[in-house]
Amino acid sequence: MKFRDRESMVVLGSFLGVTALVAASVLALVSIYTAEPISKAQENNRQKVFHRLLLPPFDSTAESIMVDGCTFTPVLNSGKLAGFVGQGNSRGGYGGEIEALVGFDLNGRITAVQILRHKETPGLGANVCDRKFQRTVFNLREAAPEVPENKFLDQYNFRDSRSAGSWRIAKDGGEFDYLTGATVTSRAVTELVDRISSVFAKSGLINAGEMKR
Amino acid sequence: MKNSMFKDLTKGIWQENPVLVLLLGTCPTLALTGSAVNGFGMGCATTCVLIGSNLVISILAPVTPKKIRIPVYIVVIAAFVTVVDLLLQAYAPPALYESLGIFIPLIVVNCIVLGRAEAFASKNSPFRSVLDGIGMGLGFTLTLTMLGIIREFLTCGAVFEIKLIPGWTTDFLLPGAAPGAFIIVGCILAVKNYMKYRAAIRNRRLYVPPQGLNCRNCGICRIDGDK
Repeated sequence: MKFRDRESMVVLGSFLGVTALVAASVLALVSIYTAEPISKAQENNRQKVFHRLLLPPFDSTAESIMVDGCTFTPVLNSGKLAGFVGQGNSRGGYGGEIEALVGFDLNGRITAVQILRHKETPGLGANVCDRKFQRTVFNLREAAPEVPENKFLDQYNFRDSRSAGSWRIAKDGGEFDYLTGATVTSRAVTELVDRISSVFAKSGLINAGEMKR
Repeated sequence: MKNSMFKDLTKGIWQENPVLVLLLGTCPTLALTGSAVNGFGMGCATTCVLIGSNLVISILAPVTPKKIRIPVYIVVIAAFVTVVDLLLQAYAPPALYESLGIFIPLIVVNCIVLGRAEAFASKNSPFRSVLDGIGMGLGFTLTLTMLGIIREFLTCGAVFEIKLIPGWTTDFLLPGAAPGAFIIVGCILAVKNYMKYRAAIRNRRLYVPPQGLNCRNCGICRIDGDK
């Protein structure tokens, strides 16, 4: 019979099938065991980023609301509304998509801006997006600040979201600084923050929050 | 015997270094050595996959029909890569996972892993294959970390994200980009080859590539000759 042949199609097929089956079951096991740590790590990461937005103190988050392509997550302090986190992305970056988080307090002012994800040029456009504490040989033992400063992202702090809608970088006739050589990135970030802020101001979420208070 | 085992472990670091001698795995070498931390992380991930896949493949090799050995190896390698990917997602620092990103799944098609499976693990005992995996992984990690240190220092005067020279200009972007990496790898290769060439002249003999690198010992492209 052909089946006895080690090289027959049936033998080859079943050998490959068995290998794939064993591999798949190992993967299923690992996937089950790591599902919880992975979701925990992602949640931790999100929480950490939320805490870096300099929002008023909060202990939990409520369900997110989608408005015009931006996501707004209310943050609560012992059940009471404490602020909002706006999230949006832009395709205007030099290296691809840029995803930003903007924190708003209950007066509608921006608390801080964080870039969640970007693919800008390291050392150039990335300097507009990253908040990174520069460690040198002279400050090896210093603790890094929780929110390292970045002069391009810090210029939005304390601005009223209701004044958004026409924020531009200085090169386009606006008032925001930009990094020479990384105009595209600076423009994308400014436009993104502007869009999230104006959507937030127009959505009336602040007033809804005030009613709840 | 003991000597040859020791050689299995150490040959990957210098004599048969996967990046600098075998010239394998160039994609992660160029893409992920922008900083020392990234290079080290990628090296460690690849090492884990190499050790695991070498072990399993050396066990499977004697019973694997020749005709389907490469699909079988790829399934084994892909399984290990996915396991490493899941573990990294769960336990590695988020910043590291973010920057290694899509390159982790791409370890599946990293030539080093398949190359060692075919050229070494399928012909040797599990124990020796694991030693080979550790050695090759170490060589890969060391080379990537070294490249990362050089590139990070040249772009911003920092090593492992610690700025050594505060006034270093950050305007020179070439070493941080892939073309710069290519040039630096080329320079290292030139220096390494020159050293070997000098050593061969000193010993009054011709330079002969190591056994494992010789095409006659590798069966990857000889599918027809299986019968």
